[in-house]
Formats: sequence, structure tokens, C-alpha cells
Amino acid sequence: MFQFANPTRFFSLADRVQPWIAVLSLLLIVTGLYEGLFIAPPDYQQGDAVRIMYVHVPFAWLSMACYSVMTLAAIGLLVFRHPLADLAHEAATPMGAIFTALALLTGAIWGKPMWGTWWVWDARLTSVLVLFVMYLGLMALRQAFDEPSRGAKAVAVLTLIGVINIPIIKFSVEWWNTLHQGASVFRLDGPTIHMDLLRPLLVSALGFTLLFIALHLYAMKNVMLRRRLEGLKKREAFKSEGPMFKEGA
Amino acid sequence: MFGAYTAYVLACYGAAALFMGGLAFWLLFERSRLMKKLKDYSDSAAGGPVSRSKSHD
Repeated sequence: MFQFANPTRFFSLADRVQPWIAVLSLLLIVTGLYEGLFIAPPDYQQGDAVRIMYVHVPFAWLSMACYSVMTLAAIGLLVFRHPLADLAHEAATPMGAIFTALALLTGAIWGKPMWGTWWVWDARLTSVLVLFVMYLGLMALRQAFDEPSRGAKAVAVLTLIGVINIPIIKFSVEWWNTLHQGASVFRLDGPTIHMDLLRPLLVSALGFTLLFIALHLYAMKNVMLRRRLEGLKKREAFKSEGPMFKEGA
Repeated sequence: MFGAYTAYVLACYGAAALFMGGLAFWLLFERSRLMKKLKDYSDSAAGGPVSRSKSHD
């Protein structure tokens, strides 16, 4: 891990692999969604509405996976002071917010025909809404600091506090009586979905995960370029105006 | 196409395409904006140390 602590080396590798990951992800997404829309059979209870699963479930998984990546980045920053950790964190936050918004939106659209309502305050939906608010809060907190390094530490600490919400989301359907269905893929006794429905879901989920990796690498480099630009601006301002506090003043 | 659920299914896939497409477009736009600004700095300080700061690599 630490051989890639040098951002130049890391981004040199990332620039080479990122287009391949993006192309592979698009192929998998197109395949998974085509199978999900046109080949997979309708569910015996939900009918064709089950096809919403092929976008809703990957976004729901990614909303939590993205937060897990941010948690690892927060540990990387606070414990190891890894130079890429905060870049990874900052780049992942808006993406996590988008994935969570999509999970909530597609879930609401799925809920209306199946449950008869767009929204209920059950444990799963509420805990995912809390996750969305966490993402927004982390973005706002970072912007609230004038000194970026202090902001980075603050968001890392808040990320570690907020990670308690991830197991709550995962197990909410077991701990509480929810309108949202229980786990049907990641179960100790195996998936309860028929393979004809499960295969497109896994292909689609893998595709969206690879797309997240490709976009995250791209976003990390954007963050690095923005920081380089801010550094140049500060240096220019320092040169033209001189230091704020002169010796002996 | 999907019976009574056509509008719901298409709304979900449309939202996914819109948000993910928007995210990709925003990242590409941001990259081109940043590269242009960095190039402007580089041009304005041509040959100076500002244009190639290793500390920010």
C-alpha cells in the first residue's frame, strides 16, 4: 500500500488502468441491465416491477460500500497519515451522496406500486436517509474550515463516528419489524432469489462497482489538481502581497 | 413494455442514467476546467518554479 504513497506513482498507474475499468464496467452494466429488463422472468408476486431491483440494489450496496471506503480513508489519514487518504475521502463523499440519493429515489419509485406509498419511516429507509444526511454533513463540514488539513481531520473523525450507521442499515431489517424486505442475497444460508433473477443483479452490481472505482480514481485526480491550483494561487498571493505577519512587526 | 409498471421501471432507469451521466459529465467538466486554469498559471509564470511544483504532485 505504501509503495503508492507517492501520488505521482499512484496516478501514473491509475491513469493507465482507469479507462479499462470504465470500459469493462459499461459492458457489464449494459449486459446486466439488458438481461434484467428483457431476459430475466418477472417475479411471481411483484411482476415486472422487480426489474427496478437491477438498479436499486446496486446503488443501495454502493451507498454503503462508498462509506466503507471513506472509513478506510479516514483511518488511513488519522493513523497512517497516508497522503492519498484524504484525496480518496474527499473524492468519494459526493459520489456516496449520489448513490444514496439514487437508492432512496429508486426505492421510493419501487415502493409506490408495491407498498402503496413512496415513503415510510421504517428502520431501513430512515437509516439510509441518515446516511444521505451524513454525506451532506461531511461535505459541509469540510467546506466550513479555512485550513484544509484541520477540515480533513474533522471529517475523518466524523466519518469514524458515523460508520456505526452502516451495520444499523444492514441489520435494520432483522432488528426491527420493517416494511422493507429482509436480506435475500447476502445470507448465511445462501441467496433466496432464483438464479435467473440473481445473475443479472450480480452482473449489474459488479458493473456499477467497477464504474464507481473508475469514477473515484478520476475524481481523486481532480481533487489533487484542484489542491495544486489552490497551492499555486496561495503562492501567487503570498508573492504579490508578502507575508501577513512580518518579523519584528 | 412492462405492463402496469412500465412508468415506474423507466423512471428508475431514467433517474439512474441521469444521475450517473451527470456525475460523469461533472467530473469531465471539472477536469477540463482545472487543466485550463493550471495551464493559465503555467503560461503566466513560464519558466518559473510555479509552473512545475513537485510539492503538489
